[in-house]
Amino acid sequence: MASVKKMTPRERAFASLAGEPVDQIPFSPLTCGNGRKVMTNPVTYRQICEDPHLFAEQMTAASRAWHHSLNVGLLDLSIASADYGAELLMVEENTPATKTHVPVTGPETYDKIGEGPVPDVHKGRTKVLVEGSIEYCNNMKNQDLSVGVAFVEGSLLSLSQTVGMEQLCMDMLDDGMENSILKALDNTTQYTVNEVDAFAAGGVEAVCVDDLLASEDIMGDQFYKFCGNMRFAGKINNAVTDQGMALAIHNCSCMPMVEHQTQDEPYRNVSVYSHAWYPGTDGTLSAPDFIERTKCRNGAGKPLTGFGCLDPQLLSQADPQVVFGAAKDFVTSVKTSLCKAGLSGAMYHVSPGCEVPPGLASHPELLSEVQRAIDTYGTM
Amino acid sequence: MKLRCSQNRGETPRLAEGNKMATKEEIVEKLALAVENYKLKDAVAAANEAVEAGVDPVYAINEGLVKGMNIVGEKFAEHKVFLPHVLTASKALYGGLDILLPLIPKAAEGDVKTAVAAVVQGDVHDIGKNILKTLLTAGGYLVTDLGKDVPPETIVEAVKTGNTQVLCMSTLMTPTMEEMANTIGLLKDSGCRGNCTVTIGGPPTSPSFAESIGADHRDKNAQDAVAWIKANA
Repeated sequence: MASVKKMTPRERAFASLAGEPVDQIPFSPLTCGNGRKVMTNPVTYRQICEDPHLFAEQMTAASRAWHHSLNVGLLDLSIASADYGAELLMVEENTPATKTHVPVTGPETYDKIGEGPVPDVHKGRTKVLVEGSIEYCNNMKNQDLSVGVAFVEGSLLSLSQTVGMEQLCMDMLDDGMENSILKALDNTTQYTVNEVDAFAAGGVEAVCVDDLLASEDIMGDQFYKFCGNMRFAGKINNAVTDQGMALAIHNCSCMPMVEHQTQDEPYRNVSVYSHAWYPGTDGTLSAPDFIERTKCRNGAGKPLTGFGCLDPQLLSQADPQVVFGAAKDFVTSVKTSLCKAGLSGAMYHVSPGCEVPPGLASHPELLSEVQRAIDTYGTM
Repeated sequence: MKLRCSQNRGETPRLAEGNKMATKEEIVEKLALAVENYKLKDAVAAANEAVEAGVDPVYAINEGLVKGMNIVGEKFAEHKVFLPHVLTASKALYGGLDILLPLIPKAAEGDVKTAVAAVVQGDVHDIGKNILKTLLTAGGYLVTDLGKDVPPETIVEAVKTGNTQVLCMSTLMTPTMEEMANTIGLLKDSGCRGNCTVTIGGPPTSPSFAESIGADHRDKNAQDAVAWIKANA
């Protein structure tokens, strides 16, 4: 593998999607709005949430600053809920969130969502996401920076953010609610498919679907009924790949269902699996665990790239040496695991396993220390 | 909640003149089963039945609702049931508590420990906090739930005015972790940090993060956090 010529970050992204060798382990941090801090004229988080062009500009600035291979446009997880009628908590320098959920009075609430119109993806908050994502993905393509990855909420996440995760979880156990919830999920699934269609029409190369709730330690068997099947996840995932875009799944649960979400029918076309690792949580998925548990898929000629695991809190510590040291250890462990599994370095990207904190207290400039560690220790 | 019974402790009260009314034991069993089977309506009905029959509310809570919740908590820890089940069981628990708690004489609350639970400012994900609140309540604490997206000033005020022994803060997201540090800083500034134990939780937190911000403890899940609080706070 040492003979692989020096690659650009974007070339590494394509190599990893194809399962081909790379010159060094790719770097794909989830920078979550931190690009606004390195724009020529910095803007606030609120501004990037309200203006698609500023959203795209900060994404492009992030790619220039930190040399992403894949750059995922995670903005926040309340976009769908806002367009389904929930009330937002919008702050100046952090991610917006759903403040007041749509109140559930009974199955009729889910019926109303299910039978109501699918929110127009060219209006409301979704407009910023769709237009901004298309712009930054094309910027990255045209400027040969990265592969831009548009980010969408999966159907279950959209509904849980709309009515509240707690409420939805409880209603899932109520037999009288089941059909109504499934109907509502049909609506949120179609909403996500419409976003995907808009991305495809706009020239986007890859889409990341967030399946936050999708974990056995959270939902148990309810996952299969309300998410991990062909009616919901499979429909969205196929919409992505049928239109020639690469499919990424983001699941930052403590214990994501990695085998199911990389091998079973609804997820058979997944190319990239982004996951988090939580220090101190039993059963959380580390990079070596991921590589070991998914190597059979790569062995079967279906390339699958992992993505994540570096502790994002490192970027809040403002200590370049600590960041470099941690990144060095991480890169070394990834490289060893890949070699042990007989896989190319393309099969795992270094990334913080959750978003780099976007508030003003974090130090995204320290991502350069991570890149330096990869340059030094991540050569294949 | 392990409160002191104010009446009828250890006795089997006469509940009815006829033979149609349930015994005290049968009523508390109904309370436990309602929680264990995630049935809010059954919990409310059994709590009302307990009131009507004159069952000591403390006994009904401890031997009924809390017993049922503890069974669910144990199953959750063993991955035999999952989040939807715990949330639904806690709904049943609080349905019963809403009826029975107001009937407890104030004197019985005298030696009960108090806690404040909150999701920090900027974060609205409160499921972890709600599970902790439920298990802590089942563990004998009177918990003041400040909800989600709570500013540091509100948390500190609640700690001060409630003579709080334990403060539990949580967040799901990395962006809002710094609010935990801000809250502890304000606790120190207000001079009441030493009066209470501070524990934090949430997937992105870690023991080293807890130490770095001056918290006493961080645990990986609500069950372990409650066990630690009961042993150490």
